[in-house]
Amino acid sequence: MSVHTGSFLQIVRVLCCALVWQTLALPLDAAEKEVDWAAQYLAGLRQRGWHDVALQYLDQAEEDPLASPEFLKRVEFEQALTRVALAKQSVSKRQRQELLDHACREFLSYAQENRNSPQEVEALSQAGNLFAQRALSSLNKADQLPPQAVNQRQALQEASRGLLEKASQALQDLRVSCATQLKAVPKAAALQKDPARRAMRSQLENRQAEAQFLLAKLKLNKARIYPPDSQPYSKTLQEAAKDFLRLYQNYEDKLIGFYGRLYEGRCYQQLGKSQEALKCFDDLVDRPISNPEFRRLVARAFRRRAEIHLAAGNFEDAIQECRQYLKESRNDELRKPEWLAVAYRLASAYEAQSQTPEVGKEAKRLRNEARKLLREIARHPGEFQQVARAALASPGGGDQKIVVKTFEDAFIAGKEALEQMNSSRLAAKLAAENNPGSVGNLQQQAKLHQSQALHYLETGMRLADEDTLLEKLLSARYYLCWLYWEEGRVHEAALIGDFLARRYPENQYARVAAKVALAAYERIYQEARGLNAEQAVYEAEQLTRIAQLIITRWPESDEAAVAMNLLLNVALRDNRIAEAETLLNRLPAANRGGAELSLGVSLWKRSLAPEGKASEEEILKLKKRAVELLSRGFESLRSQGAPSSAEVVGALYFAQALLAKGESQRAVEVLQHPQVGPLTLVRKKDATTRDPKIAVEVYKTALRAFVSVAPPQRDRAREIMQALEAAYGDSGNGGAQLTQIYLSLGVQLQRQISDLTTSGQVDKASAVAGAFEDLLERVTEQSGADKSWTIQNWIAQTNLQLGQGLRGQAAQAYFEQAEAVYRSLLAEAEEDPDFAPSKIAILAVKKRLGDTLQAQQKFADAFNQYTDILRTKPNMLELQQAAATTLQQWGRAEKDPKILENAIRGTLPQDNKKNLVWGWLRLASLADNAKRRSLQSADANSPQVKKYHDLFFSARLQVAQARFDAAQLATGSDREKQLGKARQSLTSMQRLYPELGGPHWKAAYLKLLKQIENTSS
Amino acid sequence: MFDTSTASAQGVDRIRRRSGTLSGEITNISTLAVTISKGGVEQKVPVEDIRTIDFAGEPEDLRPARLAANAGRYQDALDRLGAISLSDVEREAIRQDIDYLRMACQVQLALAGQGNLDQAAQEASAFLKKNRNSYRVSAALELLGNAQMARGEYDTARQEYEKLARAPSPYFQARSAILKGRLFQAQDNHAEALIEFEKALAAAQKSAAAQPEELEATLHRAVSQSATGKVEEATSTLKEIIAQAEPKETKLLARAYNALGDCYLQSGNDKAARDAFLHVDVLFSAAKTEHAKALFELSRLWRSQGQETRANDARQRLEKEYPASRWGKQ
Repeated sequence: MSVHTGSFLQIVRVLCCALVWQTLALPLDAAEKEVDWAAQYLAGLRQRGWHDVALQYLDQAEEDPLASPEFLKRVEFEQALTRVALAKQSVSKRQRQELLDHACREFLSYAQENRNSPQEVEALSQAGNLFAQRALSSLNKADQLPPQAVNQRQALQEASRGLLEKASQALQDLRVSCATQLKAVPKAAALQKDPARRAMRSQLENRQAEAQFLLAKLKLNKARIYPPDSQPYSKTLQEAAKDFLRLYQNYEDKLIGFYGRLYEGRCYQQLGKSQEALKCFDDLVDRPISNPEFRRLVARAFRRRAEIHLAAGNFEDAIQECRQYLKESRNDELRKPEWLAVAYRLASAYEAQSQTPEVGKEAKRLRNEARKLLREIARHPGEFQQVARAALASPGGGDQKIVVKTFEDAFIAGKEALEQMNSSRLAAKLAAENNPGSVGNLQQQAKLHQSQALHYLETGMRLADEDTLLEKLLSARYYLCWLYWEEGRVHEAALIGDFLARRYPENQYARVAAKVALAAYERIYQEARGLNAEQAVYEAEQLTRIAQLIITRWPESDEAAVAMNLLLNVALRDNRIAEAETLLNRLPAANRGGAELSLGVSLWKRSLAPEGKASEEEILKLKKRAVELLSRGFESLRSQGAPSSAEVVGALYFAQALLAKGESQRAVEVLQHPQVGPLTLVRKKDATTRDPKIAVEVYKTALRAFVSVAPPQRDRAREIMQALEAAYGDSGNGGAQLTQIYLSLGVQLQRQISDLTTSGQVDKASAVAGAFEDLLERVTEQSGADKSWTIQNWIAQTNLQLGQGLRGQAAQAYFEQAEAVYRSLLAEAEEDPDFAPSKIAILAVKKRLGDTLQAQQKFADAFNQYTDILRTKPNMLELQQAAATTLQQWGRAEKDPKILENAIRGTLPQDNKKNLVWGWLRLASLADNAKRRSLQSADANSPQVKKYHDLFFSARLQVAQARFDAAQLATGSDREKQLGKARQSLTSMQRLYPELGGPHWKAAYLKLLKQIENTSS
Repeated sequence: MFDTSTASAQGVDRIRRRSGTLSGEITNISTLAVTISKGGVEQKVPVEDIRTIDFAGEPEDLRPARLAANAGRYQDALDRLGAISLSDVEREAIRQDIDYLRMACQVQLALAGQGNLDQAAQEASAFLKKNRNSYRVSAALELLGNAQMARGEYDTARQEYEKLARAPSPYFQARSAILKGRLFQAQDNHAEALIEFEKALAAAQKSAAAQPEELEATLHRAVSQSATGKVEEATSTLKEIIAQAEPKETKLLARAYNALGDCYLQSGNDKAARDAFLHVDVLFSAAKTEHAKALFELSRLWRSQGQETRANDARQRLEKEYPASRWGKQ
């Protein structure tokens, strides 16, 4: 067992009998005698344990008017000290590591900035000590690993080696610095009248000795990196022994020299050279001394001697020596760690002796003696307190639980079980590779220890009383919180985690407890949403509260980034986009990738289905922002790799957005990115794309991309279609679903073509349409395609949609194609009554044939198609609208005011005197009535009410538009009369409905009114 | 107002001035000056130059009481004063000084929220009525005004402060303007406050005795500048004041840090504000009124930064140490 470098450093300083360094650094001048308020403030913060505030203060110290130039010069050193203190408070391994790394860098940098000065010595001493502590910590961890953990042990030993080398370098530099400075200071004898410089000289000498000792000790620890009995192990220990011997010789009759002797003995002890070791210890134990530090040294020597006796099986010798030594020690010393260590060795010797055959009836007495000593050791803090308690409490393994009667016992037993659980888990993980047969058994052991830990800690909670130490109580609570999380008891985990984070934010476990609470609340929220998304309000509130606490309390932490992301997603789910944008900006830049993708997806979706009647400009803006976010998110994803499912979906949306922008080549690159491309991941059958819905969406997007890229990658497109067909091949209605996919692809292509046309990229739009035409042909050529109503219908509809997305001659070819296919469908249906799936399907085709004809300005034919359907279905609003629109466009094209009048008032009177085609006025009136009726059973924002609302304002606008169109055909007073009517239609609407149906309709009404006014004037 | 030196009065009177000590026999005391005679030579010392007077033959507890009051340990001072038997005091000047110290400590405790303000104001009034010729009259007027201001009686406070300006001395004119400026600040009338502080600065430049008032006026002016939007200018002034302050001027430093904290709050820099108030809590807690304000602000700032325990700790200390202060009551 090695002595901790940190504690030893303190011992060494006591040994060196140093005066306080700071008081010796330099003769004080007048300025330094003044109050250093900044230092006092810093000390005050440290005294309160507020190292976080101290660090923030130091970061901003230049802003403090009370900070003197001297103080500002040592800010970096103080920052490093503060980070070390903060690391001690942190339970996060990674954070601790980062803080210590940072501190080490600062100490070294500060030393560099202050060469050959007391400040350099101090900084190098701190750096060396810190590196050494960290090396020891890694070595201790390596020692605790199960035997199977070969790789982990090697990694830790490697890390230790690096740290030991850095420690050694810092201490070597320290020695050089001391030597250089000592050269500049006269010998002590010459400094009789200059006590400050004399003290400084003495201090430098002490530091030199200290560095020499620590360097030797680093070698002693370095040996632990190598396997015992290996050549490097022996060599390193022998070198350390030599160094310690030199120290013994150089500082003869001084405490540090005797410590050199003790450690020299320890080197021999580890080398198995018991006689040499005992000789070293003999030099120490025989000295009659009263100095407490020397007495401590002697206690250590006795402990080591006992270890040698025990290892050699000389239990009786160990018993005799230790018992005698403890008997001769002072009462107050028996509770000190060094003496307790001797007592523990004595207990071990009793226990070992009790198991030898020759002791006979004495065995029981020896065991009793051992337990008596263990009870005493367990009562006092020290190296063996835990192990003594465990020995007293040990049930002898298995699932038998020991009876615990105090919180303290329960806490220790719980912690022990937790450690065993972790050890079993690690062993199981390692066994999966090395010894798979034992995995089951190890996992069972881990589970058993987990249940024991839970039992003890829950028992401890019941046993806790007002005398229980708060720190331990909070630790026990945190362990429970974590265990509940592990057990899936999320409500309990959330409750305890929340309590610790909120009630004890200063406690070392507060931050990790908050993290567990966050995860637990998220799971509770997801479960509640799964049951009923509308009813998850309370759960969302709980989640938001803990997330906000983390963000406010630990704003720079990784947990804050997670919490912020979570809040952002909740805001997105609730459609609070502005809030999500704000939250995104509060995220650290390095953690924004996932959030940017989520927000980009949300904005993109919104741009595709805008709320209300967003203007084209607003939609373009929304799309632009969405693409910006998706692009940035994808860049982060590329650099970080290993995407989550949500991030893959984000990348997929990015590809879709690029396609909509006409950047097909980039979309292909995104989809096929070797690490994070959605298509790549689907092909690899990556876990993130196992959801069949994701895979199908990826294929659909890829199909679009390959079809629309220039030149189109038809082979790839074919591969994707095959993949899609394979994906649907096994399902019963696979064909129908496939058709739906192709149809929706047609819709997307139409949108893509439309977007390209709107943004003036007509060539690109035509290229996409052309490429898709190839695809259509391929589909058409597929076996049985011409016999399939569904496929033919899709071909026609896709052509119609493509045509609608284009303009002029480019569109005409698609309309003609669509018309031909629709007519062929209807003819076939006429011949074969079973060809069409239903009568409704025939009506739908007729309607779309009408749409196709209208798009080609074949108004009479279109009108006939619509009225043909209206004769059987006169109340279909959509058809009535289409018929009125056709009449209006027809009238305008033919410059026929009568047809325009028909558009307004309807036409084709029937036997019941009512017109078959209603016209805009009747449509408006029916829409208004229908809206009023709907409002009785639905709220104003319901889709049904909205539909009638829009129809009403649209129809009334068209009335005025048709009158305006008629006025433009007329001349003289007739023209004025028509203009007057048009104006009146609009102004009366203004009077009746000042808001004119909302911003969208209002803009349209006012635009028309302005046109009328301009024409009149 | 209070002395911090260690000399003791025995058989002679000693006037401790800002610029040194005079000893001899005090022959006359008025509200504006104290006359001391030594070897037949008389010297008139203006009140604004007097830090404190040790009277020959004063009770032995009086000087420790004065020292405690100077150090802000008002309760200790009152305990010391309580040990003095007034019936044994024959000299009127000494009795007046004891009266004054008792009243001043009570007012200060009340202003810090550790006593009764009404009672303190009455004590101050009573002192002024009973001791019309004491050299402590100007100090008592200021204390009375302060107590009235703390009670929200702004008009009466202003009247007391205006009385100070009647003295034919730039020092008192500066003092009066500073106090009126602070009164306006309490009423959130920073435009008027700025005018008063400018007056104070102008008056302070006319006399060496009024120099310390210049620093105080500058400090308070910065607070009002900040409140009227000139945050950067105010922040920089306050930093300068802090940097130039003598280490012993802890009350001034406390005020300046609180004002700096206010400036940072004004500019939305909560962390810097927290650090400024924390300076008062960690370093200058002896400045009681300022400490109460700092604790109040800290309790709010810690809470807004998610530090519930620290917020509760600040609040509890505020309520425990300054239960009757206006900060404790908020």
